[in-house]
Amino acid sequence: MTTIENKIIFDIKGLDLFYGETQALKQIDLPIYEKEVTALIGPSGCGKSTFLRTLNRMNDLIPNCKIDGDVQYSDENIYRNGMDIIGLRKRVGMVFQKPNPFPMSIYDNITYGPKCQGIKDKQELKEIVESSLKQAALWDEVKDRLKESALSLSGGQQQRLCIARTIAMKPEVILMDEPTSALDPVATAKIEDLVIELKKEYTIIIVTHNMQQAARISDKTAFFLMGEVIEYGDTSHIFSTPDHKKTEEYITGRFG
Amino acid sequence: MTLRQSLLQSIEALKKEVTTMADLALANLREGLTAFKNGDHELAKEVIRKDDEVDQYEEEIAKMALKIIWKEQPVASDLRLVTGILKLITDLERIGDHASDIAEMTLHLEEKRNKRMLPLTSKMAEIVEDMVLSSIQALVKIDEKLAHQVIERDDEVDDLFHQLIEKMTTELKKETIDPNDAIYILMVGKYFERVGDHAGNIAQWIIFMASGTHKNTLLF
Repeated sequence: MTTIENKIIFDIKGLDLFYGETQALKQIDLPIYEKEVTALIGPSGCGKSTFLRTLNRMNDLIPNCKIDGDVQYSDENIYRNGMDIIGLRKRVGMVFQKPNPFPMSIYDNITYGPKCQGIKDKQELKEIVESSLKQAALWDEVKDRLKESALSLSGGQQQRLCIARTIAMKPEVILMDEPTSALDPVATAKIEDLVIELKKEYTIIIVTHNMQQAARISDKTAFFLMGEVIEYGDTSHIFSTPDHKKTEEYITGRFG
Repeated sequence: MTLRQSLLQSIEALKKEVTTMADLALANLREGLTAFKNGDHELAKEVIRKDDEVDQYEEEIAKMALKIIWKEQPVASDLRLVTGILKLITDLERIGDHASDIAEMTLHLEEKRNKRMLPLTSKMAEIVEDMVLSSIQALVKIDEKLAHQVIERDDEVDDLFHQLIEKMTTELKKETIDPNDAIYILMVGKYFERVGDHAGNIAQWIIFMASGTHKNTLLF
């Protein structure tokens, strides 16, 4: 069983990460494929969120965090000296577990990033707002109240707003760290449908504790355990005939 | 600590029911074969009566399997086991049906009938009984190797059935067999051949449970 693989957009080789003396990631080798959804699963503390944060250098914000190894994004080592980190975080956006809209209007939430990038033209900003909210499947719900506070939206709507805000920066990759953990089933289903739609344009890497979600929406799944990748492959393979006993035990719930 | 006790218990209960259904189908088959061999009409009637029990097991097991699917969302080996069982219980039920069919045919044959086909039909009966027994043993342990052995034996049964047809044709031409007997013996031979096929099908689903592959095709 082989499928034609998309281009590799992130190529991680021999990645080690330390929080002080503690090694949180051990020799990670992981190629991430363009315009696919890659799910990262594993028990709490296994390193999947830590790994996610290495891809946009969010771990730089953590004191005593040290990285060795090679993280190539579009054939460029993102940890090289002189790397444009702001530029990186524009191309590699992030959505977090708890929706975090800015305390401002829906409209201003979307335009904040582009304005920081120097976009001033009102018509251009208007088009960015409409396009981003449409792509995030939120436009119809908010188009008549764009000046209202983003905090007036429901949890699910706030999360879609955060996704729209990320899209407004025209990223190539969207990192999602448990984006539906705090949402009800209906809001979760809307986000999942959105992810499946978004992967036509964007590469998505999603950390999830919900294995059925990983099975539903991802093309590839990586199983992390104690800082290592135990198994990585097509989601259909991982969830039907995993190669490793530990993978089998985790996904069948024999251990957590 | 092993989690998901609900899933574990449900799967154990499912496996137990399937084994019970398989043992019952095999017992009925053995009695059907014995009834045919000995021309035992009383035993034949008993086999016909007991077929309903096998059918009821198929329904119960299907319900249990479906419940595991909606309730537990099984994956990997659990998924392959549950879906494999859903498929092979159909073949077990058919084996039960054919045991009853063999008994029905027996009722049309007298004990004093032509015995010249008996070596062939006895050999077929011996092989298919062994195939069904082996397929049940393979199911209990999800034994791929044993399952392959069951599949390989099916050719022997098919070959013996062709020999039966040839011999029957010769006897009919020479008028050395009552045509009524010939029809029913041939039908019994066909049911033996079908039992062999169903045992082979069960073996194929056991290989699927082990590997995800059914008749050399990966189903995922």
